Amino acid sequence: MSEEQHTGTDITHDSRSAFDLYHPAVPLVYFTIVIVLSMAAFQPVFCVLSLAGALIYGCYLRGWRAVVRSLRWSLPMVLIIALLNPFFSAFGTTQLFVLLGRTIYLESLVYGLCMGLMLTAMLQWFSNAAVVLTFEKILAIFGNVLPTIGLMLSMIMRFVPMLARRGREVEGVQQACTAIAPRSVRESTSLRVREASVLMGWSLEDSLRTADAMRARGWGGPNSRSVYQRYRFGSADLALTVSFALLGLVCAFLAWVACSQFAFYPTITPLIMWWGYVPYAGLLLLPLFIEFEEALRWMR
Amino acid sequence: MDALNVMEGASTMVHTPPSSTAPAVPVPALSYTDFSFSYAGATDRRALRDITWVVERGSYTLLCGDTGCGKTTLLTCAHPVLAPRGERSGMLRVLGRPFGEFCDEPDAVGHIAYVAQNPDAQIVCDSVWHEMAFGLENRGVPQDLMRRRIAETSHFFGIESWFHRSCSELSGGQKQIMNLASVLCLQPDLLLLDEPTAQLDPVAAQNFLHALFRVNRELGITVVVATHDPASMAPYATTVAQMGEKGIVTGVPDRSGVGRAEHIRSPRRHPAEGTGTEGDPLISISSMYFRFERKADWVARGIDVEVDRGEVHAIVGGNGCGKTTLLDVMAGVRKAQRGVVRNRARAQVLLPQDPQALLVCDTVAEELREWQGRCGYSEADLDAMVERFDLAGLLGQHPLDTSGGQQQKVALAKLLLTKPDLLLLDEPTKGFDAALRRLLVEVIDAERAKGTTVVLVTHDLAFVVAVADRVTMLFDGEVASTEPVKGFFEGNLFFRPTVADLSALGLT
Amino acid sequence: MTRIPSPHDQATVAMRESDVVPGGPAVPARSSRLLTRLLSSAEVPVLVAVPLLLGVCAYFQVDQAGLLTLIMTFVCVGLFFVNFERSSPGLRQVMPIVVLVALACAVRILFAPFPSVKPVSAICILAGVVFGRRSGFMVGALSALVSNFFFGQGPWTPWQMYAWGLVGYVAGVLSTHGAFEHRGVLSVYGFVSALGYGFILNSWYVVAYVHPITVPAALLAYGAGIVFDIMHGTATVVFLAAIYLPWKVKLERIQRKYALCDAKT
Repeated sequence: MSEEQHTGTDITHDSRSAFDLYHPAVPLVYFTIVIVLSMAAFQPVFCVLSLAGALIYGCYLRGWRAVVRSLRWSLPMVLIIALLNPFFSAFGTTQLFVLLGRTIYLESLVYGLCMGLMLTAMLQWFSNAAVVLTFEKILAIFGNVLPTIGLMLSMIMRFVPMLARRGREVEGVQQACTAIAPRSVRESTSLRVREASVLMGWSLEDSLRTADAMRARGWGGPNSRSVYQRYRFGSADLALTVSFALLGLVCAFLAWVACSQFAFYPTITPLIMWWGYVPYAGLLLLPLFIEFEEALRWMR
Repeated sequence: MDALNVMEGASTMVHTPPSSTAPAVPVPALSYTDFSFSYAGATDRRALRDITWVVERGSYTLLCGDTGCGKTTLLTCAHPVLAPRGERSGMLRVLGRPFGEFCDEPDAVGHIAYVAQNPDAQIVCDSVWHEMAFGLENRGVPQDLMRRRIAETSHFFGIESWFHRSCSELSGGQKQIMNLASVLCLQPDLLLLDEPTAQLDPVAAQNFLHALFRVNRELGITVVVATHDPASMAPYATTVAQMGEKGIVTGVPDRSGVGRAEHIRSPRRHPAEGTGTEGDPLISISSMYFRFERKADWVARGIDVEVDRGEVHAIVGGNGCGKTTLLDVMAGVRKAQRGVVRNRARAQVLLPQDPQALLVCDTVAEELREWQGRCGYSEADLDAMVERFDLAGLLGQHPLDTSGGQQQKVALAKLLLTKPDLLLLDEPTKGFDAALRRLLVEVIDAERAKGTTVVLVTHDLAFVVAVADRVTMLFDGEVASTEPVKGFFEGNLFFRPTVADLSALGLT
Repeated sequence: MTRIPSPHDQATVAMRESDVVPGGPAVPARSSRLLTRLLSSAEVPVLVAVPLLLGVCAYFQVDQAGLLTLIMTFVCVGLFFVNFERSSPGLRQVMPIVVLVALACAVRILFAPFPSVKPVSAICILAGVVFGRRSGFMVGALSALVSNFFFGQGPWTPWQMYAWGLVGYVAGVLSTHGAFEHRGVLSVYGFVSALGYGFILNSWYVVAYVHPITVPAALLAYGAGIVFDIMHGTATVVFLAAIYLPWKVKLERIQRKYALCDAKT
């Protein structure tokens, strides 16, 4: 029974980030703003800033090894995108060279590179968000907005590891009964399907017991349901959310200005030093400031 | 409208002591008078017949009787939502009110709590805290009250240390304690339990029973437990109700069965008198090491075991000692990381702890025929097996509609039909009553007579005495000893079956 | 101990059946009824709007196409979630969805070493057939959401939720019109739906990340995934062929039992 511990991924547990001090809505708002801005602000400096921010925060949250590991498969993808774009979507004015009868332009090469950067940045931000916004926190947000679906998510997360364990049990029994050992690919395929079928019948039947347990504890009763709030939304949460939102708006405006003054085609607009990048960098580094502030408390 | 609902919910949540609702004479928690019940669709057969039974408030009552005598039906008939459909006659009063009237109360579910046998199936939510909150959420309890209820209940059961864990990480014992705690959050007056310890190992079962004892004595909540194994619960109970052919007979609990047996006479021959195949063991394992992951702790550390042809070999030991892992390694389901594992069985089968893991068809008959084409057993074999396990009445039923014991019988019949020469059993008596355990002893004896080798992993020491030739005791991933069953129990202080367990198998 | 009554039995016990509407709290006010009708009639337009928007974005080469279409899928999935929530579902709606989603995720985890065996589409289709189009959508959407907690969330999550939801929804619609009585149609749908699933996910990639969109670039993007899509489609067809009838019987049996559960609550 305790073997469920060996089912691997531990995803429901709390992480250890400074965002734990706040209501889950706070990091949700933050990551939404950052990811939306990363997608929308398609301008080289913004893309580079976003990726740098994501990597720095990622190194803090997940450790540099994990970041490198995740880059290992996303970097080749970025390179492919960057190189294929000028090959297939050949536009621009600055000819670099001719490959396989196609002219490669600088503009579309840079465009492809930026696209790759943006994609990597977004994936990195998603990975960071996954560390901070654990299932439990997502559930807390869902539970407030859509309580029934929140409960269903909780039930599903209850069932998945149990079914995975049972699936291994069924597989083990099939393997141990040498009398029914498969003799061909066809038989081994049908054993796989049988495994899923056993699992399905078993879990459906068990769910009836679960339903009994739910009704016996008042599910579907006359009172309207309430939701246990594990996290409370306090004034500090509100303050931080509002400041995220305001900073996000400022950055959105600046990004709009930057993007409208910038064009890849027909020639790349030259980039200049501009104070307008600073707030965006600030937004991206904000969680690190919070972490830093928390770390300072412990040093004193 | 909503606010009003919450207010109502809150006011009914206040625990009313029995004295405020009851007159001077204490009202019984449950009283059945000439109560009969037959299931809808089976009106010709009465599941319960003229039951007269009173459960006093504040008592700890055991409801005993063999599997299938109607204990569960009797208990669920008193529950406002779990009551089965069918025809009732006679009188049933719950907490002083007639059943119908009791059910009409808006908060009926809150007064009466129910804990069932299977720890897993009752869990609804993914984490412990959420599970505790579930019942309170359903009744619209306000935040602060909800927090307080959960806090005090968790404190009472010592759940704090695993309050944030996800349910799938808990042991069976912890799950059942959580199931108990999560219904007690609702502050019921009456607690009904149906074989709550049947799926637990002995240590977890004792912990659970102790928790239940505290609930009864410290909190004054009436506890009714349906069980086929009253001996282990007798020390805590105040009343025992024996359910039989002639109705219910109430008495005081008999505490004599709890003691560990002094003299253990095993009906088993010594393996030296065996079939003379020593030197050629069917399974041999030497210096076997196993762990689940590269950086995990070793579960098995240098295990050496040999299983002779034709013997019944039991593997015993506490929780987490690596019993099931050893069985899986023998079966070839898990690969040992080090050591030599040899299994010369021609055809082996494994009976899992959960028989559902073997059942896939829509009727019992189809179930028994599932492997007919693959293994080629005849109709006569099939009929003989149906006869042997008394399955004739079940053939048309859906296997998952039958009881746990019946499922176990179907699963075993299905396996034996493949004519194995090695039978591996994982906790075969879990959840079995005395009659089923005796049947299993007969089946294993018959298999041994045919020359089948049997390896079983179990907590049931009396069963080991009844069937095994040799016993291997595991501790901490190592073999503590391998001995003939006769010598094994001599000199053990703790590791001996109880008197009641032995006598249930007719061994005293 | 069996205490499961069969579905055709008449309840003879006078339980509290008359005074409780299964799963429903109170009679909704007129305005909220109107809103419910409005929301549920918006389902089909919103489902259609997602691929439509993709097409429009591709045709006009819209700048913020990636973000726009992503928001559209959010709206679509959100609408279905809100409608489900507002229908105050009883156990017979909730439990099968929960079990099937958990099953889809568990099987995806168990069969992770065999990437071509992806039973999720087949399970969505069955859910749509047995429990109706909305349950089909919910099973698809929730399966994508939950299994990505194990396999990694990303910008693809809303798209997978939408695409698998659509697979279940269309299966429900087709089944109510009796299309699946012919097993050939079922197999064709299984294959086409898996291809469609791949097409939707690839299209988002093309619309969001290929700029300017040219025919060869788009073909390359679609072509890169075609092998996987065909494998996915074949696996779905094989899976459906093996499980469709037996699982349908099991699901319908459980559906009857849940109908009883709700009647008693």
